[in-house]
Amino acid sequence: MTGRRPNNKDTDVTRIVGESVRFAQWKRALIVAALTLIAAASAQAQQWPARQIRVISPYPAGSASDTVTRVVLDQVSQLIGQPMIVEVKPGAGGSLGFATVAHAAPDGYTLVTSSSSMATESVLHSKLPYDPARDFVPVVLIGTSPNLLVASKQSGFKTVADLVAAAKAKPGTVTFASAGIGSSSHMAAERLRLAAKIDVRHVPFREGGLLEVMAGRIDFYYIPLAAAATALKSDKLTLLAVSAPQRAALLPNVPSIVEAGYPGAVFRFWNGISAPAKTPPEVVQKLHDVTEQALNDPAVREKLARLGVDPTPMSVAEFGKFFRDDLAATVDLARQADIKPVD
Amino acid sequence: MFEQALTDLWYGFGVALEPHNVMWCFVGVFVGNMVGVLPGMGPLATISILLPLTFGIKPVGAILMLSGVFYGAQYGGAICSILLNLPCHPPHAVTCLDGFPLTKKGRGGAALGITVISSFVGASWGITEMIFLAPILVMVALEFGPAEICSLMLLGLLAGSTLARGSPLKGVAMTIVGLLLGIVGSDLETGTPRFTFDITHLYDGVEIVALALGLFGIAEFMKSVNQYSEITTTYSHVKLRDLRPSRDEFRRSIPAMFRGTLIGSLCSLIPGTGPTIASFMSYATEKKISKTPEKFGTGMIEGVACPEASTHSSVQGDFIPTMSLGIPGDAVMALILGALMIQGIVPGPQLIKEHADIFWGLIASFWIGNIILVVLNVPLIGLWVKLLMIPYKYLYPSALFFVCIGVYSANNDMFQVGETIVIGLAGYLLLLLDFHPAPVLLGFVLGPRFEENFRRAMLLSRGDFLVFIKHPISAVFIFLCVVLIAAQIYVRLKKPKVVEEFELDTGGKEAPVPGE
Repeated sequence: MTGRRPNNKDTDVTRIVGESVRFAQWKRALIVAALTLIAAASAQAQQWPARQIRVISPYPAGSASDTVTRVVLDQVSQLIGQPMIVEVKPGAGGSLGFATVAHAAPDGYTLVTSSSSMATESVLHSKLPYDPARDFVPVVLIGTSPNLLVASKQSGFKTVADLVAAAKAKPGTVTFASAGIGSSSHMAAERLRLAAKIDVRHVPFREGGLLEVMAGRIDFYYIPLAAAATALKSDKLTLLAVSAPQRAALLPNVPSIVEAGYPGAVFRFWNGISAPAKTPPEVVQKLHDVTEQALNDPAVREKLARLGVDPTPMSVAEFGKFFRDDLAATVDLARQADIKPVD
Repeated sequence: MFEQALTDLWYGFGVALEPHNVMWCFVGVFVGNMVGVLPGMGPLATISILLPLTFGIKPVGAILMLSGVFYGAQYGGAICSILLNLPCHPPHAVTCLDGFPLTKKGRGGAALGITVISSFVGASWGITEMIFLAPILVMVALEFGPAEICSLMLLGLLAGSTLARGSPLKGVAMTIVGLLLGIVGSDLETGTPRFTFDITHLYDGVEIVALALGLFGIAEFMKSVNQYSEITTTYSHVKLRDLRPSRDEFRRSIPAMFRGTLIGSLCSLIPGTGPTIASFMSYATEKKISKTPEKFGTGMIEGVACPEASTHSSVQGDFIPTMSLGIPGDAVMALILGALMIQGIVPGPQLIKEHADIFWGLIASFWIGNIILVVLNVPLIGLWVKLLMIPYKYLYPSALFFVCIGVYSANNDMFQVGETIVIGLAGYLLLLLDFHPAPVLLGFVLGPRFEENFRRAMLLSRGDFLVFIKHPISAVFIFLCVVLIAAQIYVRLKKPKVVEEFELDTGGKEAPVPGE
């Protein structure tokens, strides 16, 4: 059946070609129709958003990424006058949610909250149901947040240098906690491990191992800043460094990892919004602008600051480059740290 | 210190009784209660949806409401477990074991009544603990490292494998099935997917909500639907005058409630040990110390009172590490912590000093919320029980419909609906073969914690097995495990010869479980 249909059309066309005048009219009509379609499409893009927008959050409800996105989208939805429905679709480190959006209609009505974990997923899995670089267009960067390097009081580490010295003196005895393979706490620690060339032991936890560090059973932990605020005043922890190039506004007294002498260990977790790859550029630009506007709102800014997120304004093109650089850097890190795909 | 705490609590009541705060508290517990009754969608999803709504509210009101959703959901959770054998939330799965038989006997209303009372007792203790004992409890919590948790889980598995009615051998077999199911998913330490058969959806393991609803609800439904209608209608013989628990039921429930409360509050302190583990452990304990363990599973009121009290004291106790250390015990607490931080409030040891209104207001609101819940739920019992008067052919299909919606909405994932149905079919087969599903859930909940903590303890001790005996708390648990096995063998050796062979077999089978 399907093989025949084009043939029928061909014969129709041949008949029309025979009558040249009618063909010219036909061609003109076709061009007009095509133009109208293009115009309609761009009008559609201009009308965006005409209805509610579905935003897939591929991370578990209540995770830092989920909370950060909700804070921002709440404001964006007020600005565009359309509800933005956050749909939590966690699973397989975010792969399920990303796969849904990668195959969704690129009309600007299905978006996804992206983050650093997109890059880590791409090195941890050899066969993902989507291509992080090709299936998405990065729209807007919400912000970056560093991780905070904390050590237990019992370990006696007062500075990053102490930690490195101890790890070099007795390789394999210093332990660090993380929230699992590929989590920001793991990736940040791997960067320090490579930069300082130390042999430290990884102890992953499902819900983060801060309690174990406070109890002194584990030596250090690269805690996400959003989760760290609560631990700052604890007398059981020493704050060694933040994994950013500069000091964090929340913690003016804690040196940056660059100051500590390991510029190679800089790690910043980012959160952003991405759309399916073929989303019209007008829509992408509009969404980008309105989100930046939301990010400039003092109330939003304050809420993000409390969650340890530092808004980093970037144009769409800059964010695209930032995203590709992050992918490349993570692939590079995985190669050096010998992190192999698990499947 | 005692007087100071009472003065502060008085101040807290002042905060919590401000009209708008009472309103937020009411909204929270009401929404929570409703969410609790519906299958699948738990407090986590609800709180994360409600989170942006709290941006406009003052911090105290916001936190009262979100917390209210959390503990309110637990009140609702037991209702479907008892009346329909549908454990809408995993902590209440164990309540099905005796709750549903009670309904079949026509005592469903009484069971609900006892549930409300046990919940209140459990919660009250949890709150009291938070007022007076929080600093001490936090110190205890820090003592529980991987070795201690591992030994505790081992004890739980040993004590719980004979959780269900019937053959102990079958109970152990089902526990092992649960342990195996718990392995599914990516391995925490290496990330390697285990038993996922290349299905991406299984990378995070089998969903506990799907497992609980499938094994209990769907399996029971399939079993009843195959029977003659006369049998199924027995569920409907609940009369309104049966609503009040009898004097005897009261007498038997009260000690059970207190035991449950104690276990729940202990579990809430140990990281990663939430209400689900608490309720299973308390049921197992209750059965172990009962004079008539063989009657459990046939409608023992203790089997309802104990796990329910345990769940609630664990839920309230969950707030202790969150509020006084700033370390959330589970995802719900992490979310509440996030809500506080957005409001500019940092939980931790200094919270009580810096934001006395939040801390004491919250505690006072727990009392108010729990009282509202009791007041809400007692009259509602009559209504819920009337639900059973709906003919079976309408009631169960609609319950199944809600199960599907609930399971879907938990993760917005169709796969989990399928998962529930497949598990339900498997559960039906097990029921036909007279295998009870409860130990599956026990193995599933405790197994991964046992394995992870075992490997963690090995990592930290660099492979030294003696670590479990060197740590005093862990040594106590190991000692109890040995006593438990020894007692089991001793009791069975004393029994007549014919039984002995079979029983010894069971005793031998139990030992390999921990060594997994």
